[in-house]
Amino acid sequence: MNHPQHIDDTRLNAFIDGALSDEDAEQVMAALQSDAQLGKRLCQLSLVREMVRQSYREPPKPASKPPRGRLRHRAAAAVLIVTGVCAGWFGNEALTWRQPDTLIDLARLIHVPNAGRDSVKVMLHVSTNDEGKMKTVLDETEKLLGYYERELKQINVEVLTNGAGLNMLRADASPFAARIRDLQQRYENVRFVACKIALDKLQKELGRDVPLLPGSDLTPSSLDEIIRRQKDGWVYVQI
Amino acid sequence: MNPLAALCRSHEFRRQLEEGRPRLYRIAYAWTHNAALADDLVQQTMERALRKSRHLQDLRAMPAWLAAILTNCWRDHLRTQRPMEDIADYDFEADADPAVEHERLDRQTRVRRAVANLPDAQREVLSLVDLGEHSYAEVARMLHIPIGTVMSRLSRARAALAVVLAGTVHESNTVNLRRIK
Repeated sequence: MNHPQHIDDTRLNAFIDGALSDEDAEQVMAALQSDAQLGKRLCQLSLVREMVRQSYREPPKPASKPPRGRLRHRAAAAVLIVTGVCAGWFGNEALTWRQPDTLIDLARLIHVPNAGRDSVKVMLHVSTNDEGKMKTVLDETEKLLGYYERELKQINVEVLTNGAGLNMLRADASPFAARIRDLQQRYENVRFVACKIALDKLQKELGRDVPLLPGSDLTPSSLDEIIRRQKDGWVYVQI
Repeated sequence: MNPLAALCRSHEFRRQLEEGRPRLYRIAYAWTHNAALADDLVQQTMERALRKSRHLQDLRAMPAWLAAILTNCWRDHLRTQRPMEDIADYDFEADADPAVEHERLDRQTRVRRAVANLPDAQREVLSLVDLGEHSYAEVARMLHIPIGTVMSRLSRARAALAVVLAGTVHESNTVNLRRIK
């Protein structure tokens, strides 16, 4: 059909929030390929979502009050007794996480409105310290780079980290240092970028310098980076 | 449940309760834009949650369960306190931190203002989805409204913010052109 059905804001929002069934998400992706306006709206709405999140990441704390001893104290007593047992029982739950297949696919499929040619620019945004997500980002980055290399098409990938996602690029903590170095050596068209605000905050918390992986770039503000990239026609994918 | 399992559950319950605090506080702050009030609401939520801990069957459902309690605390507050409040009491400014870029604070303030100006019902849904990271279905259950209503309120909220914040986005770009590589 040459007339993709109209996709309204409600459906776009559901798409952004990962609330659509696979089938519905595919319809949206199909529509995005042929409708630049829709792509623009998608960017606007996902940007609003990101701005709201960032603006409340660190709400002001209330003026100091007496510490809440009761809850903490009782909790601490219980911890001493059963920590060992619980670690085994509950450890696995951290691993369950819904794969954002649709968004990654989107990055692969979408034809960027203002590029319109063979060049694709994709920004992958990691904001949580979740090894599963980080691994997905690296897997997808490698797939994208490899695919475009074989097809002799141009792609630029930027992996942006902020908040707790910064861990991915910490020389002293990243579980993926070797993998990132390998990608950097094999491909020139991939950048790994850390948010300076997140880095400053972490350094202040730890009271020491935090080294980043060699070859990482630093951006003064991750949100500004996202906005700028989106304006330049980058596909933005939040993991 | 054997005693060890019960103890373990109790420990895990408390751990998750404490872990849930920052998220609840973000939501409460986005509803009230008042740090002291947000803190009170979260504290009430924690206390109610402790009292009712046996009602929660599955600990995995805890984030949504806590958000539902927070919603009730907020509603109770609105019923009793609303007329006393004034938008002039809202504190939009973050903790003073000279190291933080001026532009970011400025944008943050504008985003918070825009969120504060949304109708209550829209702000409630927006906060639960974006800050609480709850699914549409969870929010629908929490607020006792159909899922379609969740979606339409969220859409209206984001559309309104997109209009208000269009200028913010534009200005950010201007700032960025000056960025030193």
